[in-house]
Amino acid sequence: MTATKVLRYELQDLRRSRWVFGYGLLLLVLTDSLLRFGGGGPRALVSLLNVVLVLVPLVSILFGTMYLYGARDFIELLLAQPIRRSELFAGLYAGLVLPLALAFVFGVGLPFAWGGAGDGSLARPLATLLSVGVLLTLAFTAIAFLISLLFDDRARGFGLALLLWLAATALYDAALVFVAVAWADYPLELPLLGLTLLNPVDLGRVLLLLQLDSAALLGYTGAVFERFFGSALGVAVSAAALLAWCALPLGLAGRRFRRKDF
Amino acid sequence: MNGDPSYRTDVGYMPQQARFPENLTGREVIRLLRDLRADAVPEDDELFESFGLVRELDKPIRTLSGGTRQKLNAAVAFMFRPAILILDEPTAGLDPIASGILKARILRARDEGRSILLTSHVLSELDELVDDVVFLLEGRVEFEGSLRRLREATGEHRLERAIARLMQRGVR
Repeated sequence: MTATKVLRYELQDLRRSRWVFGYGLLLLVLTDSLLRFGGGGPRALVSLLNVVLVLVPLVSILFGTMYLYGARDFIELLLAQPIRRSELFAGLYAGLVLPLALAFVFGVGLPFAWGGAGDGSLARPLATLLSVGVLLTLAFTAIAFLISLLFDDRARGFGLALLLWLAATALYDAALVFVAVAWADYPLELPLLGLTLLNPVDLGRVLLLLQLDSAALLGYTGAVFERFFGSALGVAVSAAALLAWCALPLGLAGRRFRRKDF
Repeated sequence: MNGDPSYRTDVGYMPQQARFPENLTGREVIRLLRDLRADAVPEDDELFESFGLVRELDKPIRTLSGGTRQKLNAAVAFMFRPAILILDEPTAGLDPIASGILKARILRARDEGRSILLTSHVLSELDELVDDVVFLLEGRVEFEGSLRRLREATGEHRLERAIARLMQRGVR
């Protein structure tokens, strides 16, 4: 596979990148201090969840677009080599996602490992948090690829990346709250449930909060959410929705990459 | 060619500006390019030596100067002995010595029977390099033919003057 050759060079490049290293270190320090001073166990995990849900999409989408715009000339040189576009694309994506995901897993996982997650009651929520973080990395890096392939102008690309991040992490929630308040007299549980499925960041939040028995934090729709997301079907549907958030942008970006006139 | 990329083993491409991955060394970039090619032709490291690049190959590319990167860029294009060379403004950013070395190499490649497509806006350096000329102006082909025909058509010996004549005609 020629894709693995591209992957190997990119790992070589990113292993020496201060950005990826700094990202892992930041997560490590944050996680460690939250575990030490954050009131322990589940409460630390909830604080950590909020950090992860904001930070992982931000770093993935910004670093992804930045890296791709920076590598543009080199990609053009690689396109002149005997390698299929699909393999080059696969190698580039894997090479970017792998270091980011590893930095995340080690940054968040290590403090739990050495701090001792206590009696092991946190093992499941922690596993969920790690999976959600990795899936968000996959999704937002794929979106970053799509953006940088659609817009040759990097200022517009960065702008859109920031806007999408803001929309997913803050604006979408605000809109949901607005909908909930404006139509408070109507039964909104099911529409809200559907709308939550459409945002990867919200999906991650709901999945984890339910495992921590904090469904009450979700307000009056909490019960519906618990009934849905708590069930095996709910977990399956939301995991599928998160995966779709990885696959869809990635598929579109791959298609674009194969056809683009560089 | 139908999506089969293997024909590209015969092509050497030198982009106008080479921006190699910052954290890699020249040697690592070369290894990648070598890996992507299945063929095992004996490599041509002549330019690496004549450019004095060999001792720069183990430094991270981000520490190399623009001129050195451009030398690396040129040397890489010639490395796999391609039958077709595509050079985009090859002498841009090169010092006079390096530029002389590269032009000599281009001429020799031509004499070896390889096809070379090169773009340049430094017309004065093309007189010695080219056999055929395609002159593009604002996306349209204004002239296409041999250098001799261009000279006859315009009555000018120097390529630069001949092209200037073509442009003046276009204006009128």
